[in-house]
Amino acid sequence: MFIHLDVGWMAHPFPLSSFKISTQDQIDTIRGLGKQRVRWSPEKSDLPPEGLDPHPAPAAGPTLPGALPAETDAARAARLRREALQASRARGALAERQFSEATKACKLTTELVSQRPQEARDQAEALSRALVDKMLGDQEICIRLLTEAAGDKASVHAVNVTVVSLLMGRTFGLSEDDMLDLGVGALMHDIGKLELPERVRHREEHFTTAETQFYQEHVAHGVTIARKMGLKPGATLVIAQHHEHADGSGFPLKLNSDRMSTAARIVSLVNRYDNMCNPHVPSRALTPHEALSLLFAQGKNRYDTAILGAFIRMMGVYPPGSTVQLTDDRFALVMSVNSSRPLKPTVLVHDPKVPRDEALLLSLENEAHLGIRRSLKPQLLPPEALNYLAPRQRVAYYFEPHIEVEEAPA
Amino acid sequence: MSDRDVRAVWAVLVEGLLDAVWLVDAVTQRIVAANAAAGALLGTDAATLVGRTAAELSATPEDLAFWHEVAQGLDEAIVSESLVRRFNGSVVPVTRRVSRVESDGQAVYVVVFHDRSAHQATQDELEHRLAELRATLESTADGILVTDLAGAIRGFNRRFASLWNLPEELLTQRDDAAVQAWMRRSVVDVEDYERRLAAIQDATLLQTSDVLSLHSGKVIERVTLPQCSRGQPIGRVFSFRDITEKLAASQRIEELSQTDTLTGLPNRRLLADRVEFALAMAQRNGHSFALMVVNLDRFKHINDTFGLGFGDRVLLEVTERIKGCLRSLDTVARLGSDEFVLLVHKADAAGAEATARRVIHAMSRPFRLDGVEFTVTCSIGVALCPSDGDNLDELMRRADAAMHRVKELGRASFRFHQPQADVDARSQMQIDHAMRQALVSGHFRLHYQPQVELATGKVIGAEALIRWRDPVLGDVAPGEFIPVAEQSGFIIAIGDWVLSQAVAQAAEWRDAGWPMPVSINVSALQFQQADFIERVSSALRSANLPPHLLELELTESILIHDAEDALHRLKALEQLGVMMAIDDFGTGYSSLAYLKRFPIGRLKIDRSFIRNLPGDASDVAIVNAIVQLARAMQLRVIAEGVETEPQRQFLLDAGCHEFQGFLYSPALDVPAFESRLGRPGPPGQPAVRLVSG
Repeated sequence: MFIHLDVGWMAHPFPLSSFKISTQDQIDTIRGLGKQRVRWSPEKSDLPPEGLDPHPAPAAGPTLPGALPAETDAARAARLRREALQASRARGALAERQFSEATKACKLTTELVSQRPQEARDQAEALSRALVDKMLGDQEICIRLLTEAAGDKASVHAVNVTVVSLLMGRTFGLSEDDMLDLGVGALMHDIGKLELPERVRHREEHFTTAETQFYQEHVAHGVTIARKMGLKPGATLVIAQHHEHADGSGFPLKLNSDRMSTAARIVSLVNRYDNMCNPHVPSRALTPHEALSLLFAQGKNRYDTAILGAFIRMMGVYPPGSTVQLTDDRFALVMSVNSSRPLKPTVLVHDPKVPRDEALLLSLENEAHLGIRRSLKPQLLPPEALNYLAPRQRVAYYFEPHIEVEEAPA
Repeated sequence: MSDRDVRAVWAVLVEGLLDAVWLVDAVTQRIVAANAAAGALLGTDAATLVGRTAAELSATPEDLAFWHEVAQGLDEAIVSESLVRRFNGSVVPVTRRVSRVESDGQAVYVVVFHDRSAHQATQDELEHRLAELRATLESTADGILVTDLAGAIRGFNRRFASLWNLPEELLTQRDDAAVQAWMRRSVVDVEDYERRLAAIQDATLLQTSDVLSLHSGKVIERVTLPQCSRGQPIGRVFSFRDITEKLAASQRIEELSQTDTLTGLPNRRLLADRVEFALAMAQRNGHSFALMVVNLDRFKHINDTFGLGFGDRVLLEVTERIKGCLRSLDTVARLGSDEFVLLVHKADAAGAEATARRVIHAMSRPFRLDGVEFTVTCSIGVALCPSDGDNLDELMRRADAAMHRVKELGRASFRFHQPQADVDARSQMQIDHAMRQALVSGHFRLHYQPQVELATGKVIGAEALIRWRDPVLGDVAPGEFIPVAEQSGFIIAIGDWVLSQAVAQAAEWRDAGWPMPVSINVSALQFQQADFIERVSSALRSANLPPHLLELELTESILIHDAEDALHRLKALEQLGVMMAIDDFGTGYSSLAYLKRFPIGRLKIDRSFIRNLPGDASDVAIVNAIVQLARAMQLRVIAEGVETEPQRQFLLDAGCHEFQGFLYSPALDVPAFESRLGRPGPPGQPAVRLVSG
């Protein structure tokens, strides 16, 4: 039976709000939600055999494939591309809705912090729980690039860091409790900035020593707030250590890797990555690929090798959202990671001969002679390619159950 | 060859290459040879590199991933942009190419680096500049739109989008047509917008500035400048500024102000308030009051002659004089340039008359400014409340009509509103209507008054004069309907008719072998028509009349009105070959300087100077002066309205060339004219008849 849960996605533990029930566990969980009714879609459900169907299909309906006019190979390829793209965009839209709910919840939490810290904690934990619930289980989960990330800057940053950190935590096999702490800590990592004047909330190169000191104090403020909220030690540790580096070059305590919690090590890296991709001054933004390269080239020692390695495996060498030029000079946008072949992600290719809604979604793994020559900033794309690929100013990630995409012949 | 030998060969080979190169053993993934350039790139010597693993020297995830894939046999070549880390920790951008080479069963990977630092630095600088430029563009308060020469959009800032309320989807679509359509739909006057935009696009080097009203209520000032690169226009920059608030503010200020800025007198708004109050008082207490419209006579002439600044000082003096004629509780307001309105409380007809006389008397004293002495008279129209009306509009209209009546009757006086004047206005409408009918129905006729040479008594021409006999109204005198036609603009149609009629008549006479120059009167409005010269020339052409047989009589005021334009037209008419005369000479303002420059052939002395000849000494002096002047300027002079023999004799003695008038003949219809002058029967016979004076 294909059902729709008409409640916010945070109110249930399923990855999607609309899905086909396949296990008794799912039914039990739905019962546990305490809902009087759920909506279902007969057309998407496995219905009992003929005769019981209350809506027999009209005779003229498209029934037999043989009845359809013969489709040329090219037309079929275009249709498949269109469908693949549409499906991908539909999944994207769903992810965007969930992301937007998360940023709203995050904003609400932040607003509660100063007046009602304990309520804020409950909110943060609920949000973390909702995200973790959707990631637990055996199903393969992959990272998804969002085309639109709704919400204010601070909330988008917090949710972005939380989503990626939790995905990292999942690959490290963190326990459920650790995952929850990681989620809360990541959501609240910058909460201390509430105590700072706007001017020093974002580190600038020209900061004086005093200003830098001011800025760095957001960590201490964060810990104080975490205590007031009554956060768990694991989550508080993330807030306390999210600016420490593995080589002891971070602040405030210049801890090294050994004295940092795994969760803090993860958030320290992911936070840096997100700040590079989405800086306070948008013109200084790096592409995801540039950010990753720089983290790797300059920060090989700053970050735990295992964590950096896992991060690269998860994000790929060319993380989703990177605009690239292929070895045949075409421009493309990286859509998803190929974890076994990091140099061969799936890309959306700009081809003027192909309409935008039938754009090639190409897995480079299948293209022996095609590779990525370079990554570049979106503003360096020629206007036609920019329109076609439409990369976003702000890079935001969410996640989705892994789905095998039918590969359209290129 | 042994391994060692092979490697020696490779080492020599790579050393010869310009780019940084090292070779990686396919099996061990260790560097087996590196050239000096490679050492230099990494800030060490080449020997240090040999023996290290490829992964160890990888500075980027993609390099690491590539060597990982090589190890798994998944990949064997790559070309991409990457980074290398120097031994001092700094990072250098490079293009890195790896390919597999096999020789004698031994496989190596050739890794070639090309340093991109310089290129990267240039690009970074360029990006930086672009970002700065972008930031500048976004930091202006104006909406900016940049187009190329073809009008295609090259860019705009966010302020532009918000000014025009561009929908979000248009911002990302980059659909020029949609953006332009949106702008077109946003403006109130689409036609005007398109016309002006087309004009702007047409003139690549034009700088323009105008104001657009949008449906949203915004008023936008648009300034456009050509965008040039290397001296060549490459496009256009439009900047848009929201002036809605500025306009609203100035309008508000205007609304709040109740006084005239020049004189400090109450303006129309305050006057209206005071009149409202006076009306209320009048109703309650039964007092009457007077509203008087005071208009300076020929004030425009002062402005034209001495300049606006001088005129303003005259107005200040006038203000003081008028104020001096009123009680302190009465009001003087200034409505327009030289129009004042007086509100005189508790005044009946006698009171109003006394005030009007005081004003006229006060104005009669000569003015003296900057050593110039002159007189300013005024015309006053009076309306009384409640007898002439019980609201501001009605009182104003009636006082105004009375004032205009004063102007018509010779100015420098005052007049009460008279119901008769309204009747006049009604009959004016009747006349206007009947006149239009008359032209269609052919009720107009031209009569011709002979013009006679004083010395010889010979008829040398005829003035065409319009006559109207209406089946309903009877004979309507030109003095009655010409002013109406001038007011309504119908004079142009009448003038056209006169022109073609007179030209046709002159042509007929000439074709009959009886060449008779014909003069027609040209009104100011007709003369100022853009195609007047064309009309004259086509009338001549279609009747095939030699131009010298047509004379145009123009009044001085026509010529003085816009002297340069007039001169231009007169020259064109002269070019055409038609004759020109100044009508009613001596009654208007003439400038001798212009007179000299205008291609005029004849002056016509106004009948008012002739009437009292030869008894009136000043008329004698005037006529003598005019004749002397004309002779000095080599113009011919004709006197009109000559009715008596002594007048004729005087003019002859004075040296006047010609005359017309009842003494010789009134204006006659064509048959009478022909028989009076004895038109020769069959054409072809030269027949010039001498007439005795």
